[in-house]
Amino acid sequence: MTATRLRTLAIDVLPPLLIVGLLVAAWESLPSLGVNTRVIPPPSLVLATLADKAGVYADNLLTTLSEMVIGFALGLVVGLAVAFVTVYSSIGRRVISPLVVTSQTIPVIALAPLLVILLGVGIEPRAIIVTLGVFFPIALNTAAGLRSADREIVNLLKSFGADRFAIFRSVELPSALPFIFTGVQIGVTYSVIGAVVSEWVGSGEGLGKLMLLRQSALGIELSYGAVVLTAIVALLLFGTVVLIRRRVMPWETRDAGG
Amino acid sequence: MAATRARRANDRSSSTLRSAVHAAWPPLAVVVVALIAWEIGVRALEVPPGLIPAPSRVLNTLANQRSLFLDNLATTLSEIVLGFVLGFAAGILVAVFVVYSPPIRRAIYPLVIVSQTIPIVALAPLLVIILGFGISSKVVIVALGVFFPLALNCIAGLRSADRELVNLLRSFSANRVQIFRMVEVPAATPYLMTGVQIGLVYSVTGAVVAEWPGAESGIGILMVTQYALSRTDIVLGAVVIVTVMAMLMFSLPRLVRRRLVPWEEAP
Amino acid sequence: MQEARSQGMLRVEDVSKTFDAGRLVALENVDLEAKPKEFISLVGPSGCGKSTLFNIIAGLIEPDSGHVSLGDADITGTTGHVGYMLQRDLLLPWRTVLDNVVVGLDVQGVPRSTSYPKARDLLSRFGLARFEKAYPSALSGGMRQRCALIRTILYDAPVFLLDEPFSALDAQTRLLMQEWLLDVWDSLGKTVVYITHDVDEAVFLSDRVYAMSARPGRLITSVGVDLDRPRDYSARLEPRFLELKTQLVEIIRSEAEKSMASELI
Repeated sequence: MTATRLRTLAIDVLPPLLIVGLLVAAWESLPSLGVNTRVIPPPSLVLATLADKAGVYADNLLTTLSEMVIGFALGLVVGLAVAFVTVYSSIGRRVISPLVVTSQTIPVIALAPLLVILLGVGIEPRAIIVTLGVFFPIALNTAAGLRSADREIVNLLKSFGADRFAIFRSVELPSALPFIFTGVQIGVTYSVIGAVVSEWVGSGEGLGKLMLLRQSALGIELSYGAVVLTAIVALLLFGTVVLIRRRVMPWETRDAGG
Repeated sequence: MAATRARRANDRSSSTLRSAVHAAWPPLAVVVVALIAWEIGVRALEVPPGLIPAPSRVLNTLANQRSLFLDNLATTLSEIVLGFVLGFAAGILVAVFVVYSPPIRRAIYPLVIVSQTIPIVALAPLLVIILGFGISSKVVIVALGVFFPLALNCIAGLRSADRELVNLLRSFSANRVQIFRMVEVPAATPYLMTGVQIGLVYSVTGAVVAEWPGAESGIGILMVTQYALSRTDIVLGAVVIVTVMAMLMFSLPRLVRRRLVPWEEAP
Repeated sequence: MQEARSQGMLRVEDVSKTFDAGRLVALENVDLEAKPKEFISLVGPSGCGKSTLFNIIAGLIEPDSGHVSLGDADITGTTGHVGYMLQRDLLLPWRTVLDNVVVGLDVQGVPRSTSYPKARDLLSRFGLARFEKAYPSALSGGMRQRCALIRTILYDAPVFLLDEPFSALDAQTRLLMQEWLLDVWDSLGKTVVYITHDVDEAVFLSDRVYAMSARPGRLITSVGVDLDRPRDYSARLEPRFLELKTQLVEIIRSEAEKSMASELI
């Protein structure tokens, strides 16, 4: 690694890492300041519990992940479908737009208790909460992306005799990609929240359920571990999407993706 | 040509109202149709009210249990307001430091960007453990959720100040404070308003959901406790209240925006 | 502040400026002067450092060596002595037309009770009275540049520094604005330093035209314009106009070719 590369790494990466390090160290020192470990267990204890009870975490993680994956996949499909219909069919737009707009005024997560009443306590209501929250940003961003295609380039291709599909493939789809990725990023972030929070209602399993434990010292450590795990999952998923984005669209500048 | 443009700006306000009404009626029609279908469906299929109450029953409950709803609403609203004010102040403070102090920017800005991805509401149960069942845990959740859009938008807004405008003022011998007041703050205002819009909308769900792990009172905890009692009509009533709150928080800043940012051209 | 802005000779002495740790020489030993109330122009190919010189005279950048003086005072690196107008109008989008034109006086602490009447007077003389409460976004390009000029006039510095103020306008508006600028200059008696790449415009407007070389920017020569004043569009048809223009065009053209050649390498 060259000297300048090392220098930029030091200037850009060290300061935030230092701050994070300080925060973690402060957290670790709380018990020695008299804070009850039953209320705020130090990071070392939380990590130990994560390792110790890995099996418990794995089972619950699986439940939450399946809610997220199913919900997101469904939301992606519905979102893309809605986007295509509203952009390419004026009748479709007139029918669907009002439905979509109306659906967005109701804060989706608040529907969790209702859905649990209707569908019981399995993964179904939670996956649906995720779907409802994911499809809208994907639909919105995809539609904006499809529409962002440069009109004049499209006309140019038409003058060459290109058919609808060719125009879609060579202009509209590439223009839409950045937008679609942004929608996916938003959707992925929401999936984690939607799944975990909807588990707070009703009984069942999952990382969200683990977070509600507080009856015992172990319960509290499990809660903290669940929160840490959730944060890690969120970061990993988001990071993966950003990495994929950079591979698929290497020409984008830094600020575009995140 | 330019005179017509100026006159057109005045006509804008009346035509925005017209276009707003024009845009509003299809969704409104959908809602009305859906409500009617729901009412008829529930009666015709004799659905038990514990499962799906009819809209008429929900409205009834809202009216009869007024004080229950209002008391809980008051708590949640106070969480929203306190949390918003806290998040707003913190957001602006951090933004100013990040923009005007390079060492602070290097240390903090990357953290702000990365920690955006961490689901803030997930902290709610932990905060209830630490801070108890009172409103403080909810206030913190709302504040954290408001902080991010506000800080990020404020940073973008302050940075959006045109270099050449700053140079123009420097040519008049303006000092740093004048440049801040006359160029950077007005340039940041539209961005700030957008941050406020995003933050307010978040606050509603943030406060409600933050009550689910535990609270003494509030619309959120009302939903969860009444769900356990199978009082679906109350749960639905709470959903209606949350929806109305969300709509208000969504439209209020938009109305104020024209007054605070009068130079913005209509989209 | 007002007192220090004397109406003296503007002198740029032996000014040099490099960027990028000496790798880019923008200006090399530039000397020029403008007598009080004189209208001078700087012409040169793009990249010759005209704008850098402009910013140095305005006090926004400091030269590596050399001085800028106004009358007896050394004004190198100090601001507040010039009225400044660019190709972009630089109107503050959040201020009305009236508030925009008084912005220089606001900064100086002049109360609005004093500045508003003067501003209104100028606005009506320039046909913009009706737009005093409008925002810049509602105005056309020509109107906005007129506002920018009013702002410059109101600031009332002894020297006006204009950097291609009309090049973003269409040809017809540009010709009108040029004649109009001469009227304004004539009635106000300011020293004007005008930067342009358009030789025609430079000869039409100025008492003296300085020609600059391609990078590194040096002054090649100065040409006195001895056409009668007041000038209108017919001045462009006089034989003497063509002579002066040809003289300058030949100098600039060879510099422009040098500039293009260095970019191709």
